[in-house]
Amino acid sequence: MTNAFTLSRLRLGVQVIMLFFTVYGGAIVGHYLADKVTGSLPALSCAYDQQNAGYCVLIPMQHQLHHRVGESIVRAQQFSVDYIIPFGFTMLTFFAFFVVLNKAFCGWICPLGTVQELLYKVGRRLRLPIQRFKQETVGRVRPVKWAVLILMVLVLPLMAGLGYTSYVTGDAYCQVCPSRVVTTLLTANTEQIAVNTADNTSIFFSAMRSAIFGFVVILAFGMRQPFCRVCPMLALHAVFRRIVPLRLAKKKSGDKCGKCKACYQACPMDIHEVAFEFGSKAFHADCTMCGRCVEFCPDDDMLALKLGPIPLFSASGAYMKRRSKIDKPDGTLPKNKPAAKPAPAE
Amino acid sequence: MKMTSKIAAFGIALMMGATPALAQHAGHGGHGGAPKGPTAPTWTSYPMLVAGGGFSRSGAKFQAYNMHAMNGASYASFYGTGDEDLKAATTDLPIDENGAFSVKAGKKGGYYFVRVVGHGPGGEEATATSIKYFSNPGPAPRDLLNAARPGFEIMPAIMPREHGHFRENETWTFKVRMDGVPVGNVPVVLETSNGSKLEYTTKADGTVDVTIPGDFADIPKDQWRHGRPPASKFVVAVRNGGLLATYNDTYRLGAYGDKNLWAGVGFALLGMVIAVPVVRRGKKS
Repeated sequence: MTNAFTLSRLRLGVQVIMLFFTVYGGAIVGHYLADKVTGSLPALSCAYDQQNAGYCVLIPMQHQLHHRVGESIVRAQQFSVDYIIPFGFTMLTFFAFFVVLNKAFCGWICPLGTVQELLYKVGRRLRLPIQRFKQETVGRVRPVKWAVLILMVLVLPLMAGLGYTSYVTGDAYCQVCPSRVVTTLLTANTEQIAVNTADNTSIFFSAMRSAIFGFVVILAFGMRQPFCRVCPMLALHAVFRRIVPLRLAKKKSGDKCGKCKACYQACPMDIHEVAFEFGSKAFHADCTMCGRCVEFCPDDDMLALKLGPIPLFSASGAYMKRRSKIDKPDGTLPKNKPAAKPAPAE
Repeated sequence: MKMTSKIAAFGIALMMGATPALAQHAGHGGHGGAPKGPTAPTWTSYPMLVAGGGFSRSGAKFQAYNMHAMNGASYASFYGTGDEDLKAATTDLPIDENGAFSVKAGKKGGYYFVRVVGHGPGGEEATATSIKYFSNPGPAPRDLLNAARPGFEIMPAIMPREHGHFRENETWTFKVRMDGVPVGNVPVVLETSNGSKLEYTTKADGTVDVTIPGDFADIPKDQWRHGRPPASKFVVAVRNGGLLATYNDTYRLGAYGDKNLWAGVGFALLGMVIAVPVVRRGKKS
């Protein structure tokens, strides 16, 4: 392992490649949706971006609840298993992808997550203040993602299919998703930031989308991954996270652990459990498997990213010392970062 | 048991309550947004294939207009690895004396190619083509569009993706071919149901870039459906000697026709302004 190699740098490389793939990848896999990698990516790769290479599972989920389940109930006045088969297949496809990387889809692949992280890095360069949730307040924001999943992804699309709510709510979550604006703007398409003036419901949802986009973009300069905390994809991942081999693992006990709190400081999701709990309780529903807690843990092998019983990357005091020269656990740049070497004289 | 009964009662109430929604979904033509029933075009004399009532995920009824003495053929894309497969997928469809016929997409969806060969209004040999999207999973239309087929035809070089549409003020490329060979330097005419007529000429490689005009007139909102005005129709036609080929489809309001970009930018700025004090309240590291 050379000094230049760190897990964070590897992850940044993967994120940049996946950002290209999930925003412009249609140039590689083809123009049509039928050519895409999948319609069930467990990351916010937006179907409104006409140049992407695979799109988010939330689109088919909402459409199936709206157009298949809801409308079929209305038409037939009875419920048949045929109506939920497409929904089941969507979940199976999602699960097949999810099994490969677990929640790492959030921390390594999601284009919105990558953009937020890059903005935070800019914020550190500008030495802007850091905003984070304290141990006693983070619990207030955690349930929001579940409410968004249930209300915006499941209930409102079904209600639209049943005819109770406006057709606009047929993809209620997509109506307000900031990734829809971010990824399309990256393709020089300004259509999704515009307010849809078709009716009052459309005006409300599209205005919310633009405002949320603006709010998240600025907040990301001072807070790590602000939107991820309320993202329904995080909740959807959390449902299955325990049954997938790739995971964050922590030893069941340790005398030194819980004192330095470097892992908690390093966690972009402000998960205090990683510092104060042991065993499977340390792998919290909000974890995006970015691996920063493992990188900054000085206690050898206390934390690890594991595939089944196999440790892929384990905590090490020596690695942590080297890693801390690049940035601090909260992402702040070291004050005395060595200046770039002058170019050799000709 | 009590909880189960409550859930069941809630479910039944939902379904009963949803009865009025039948009207809301009635005539929903899938993502193709097909009209309830075909109406004879009064705005063009060129041959057209119009999808009518009964458009669903699995099939549609079509009506051929401005043609006579017809033979029907449909080419489905689901075997689409090359023109031999597309030929093999051809089915002779019975067309009634009024020019109506049905196509079945089957369980596989995606893009279907519909063509009628007959005689145009001037008695010339005419080929009318249209492509419809059936919203079940299906293959991309690349082979469908690129296959070398016998006869004279005009086809889009690329189709809009699922949830995409031809829209006003957009430029789309069409290909003109005879027995699969590009035909250059022939006149192409675009006509729309909103009264526009534009003329073009194919390039040496048989392609022509056609800009759909921004000719949507103000349509009262009570005629809008699902937040947008009804689609308009267009036909592109090309003549070569005694042969006539047409392609017709629908087009929608332009990208910003029902949107306000500056209002969106304003709300984005509002969100940014709200976020600024939150960031400033953070801790200096």
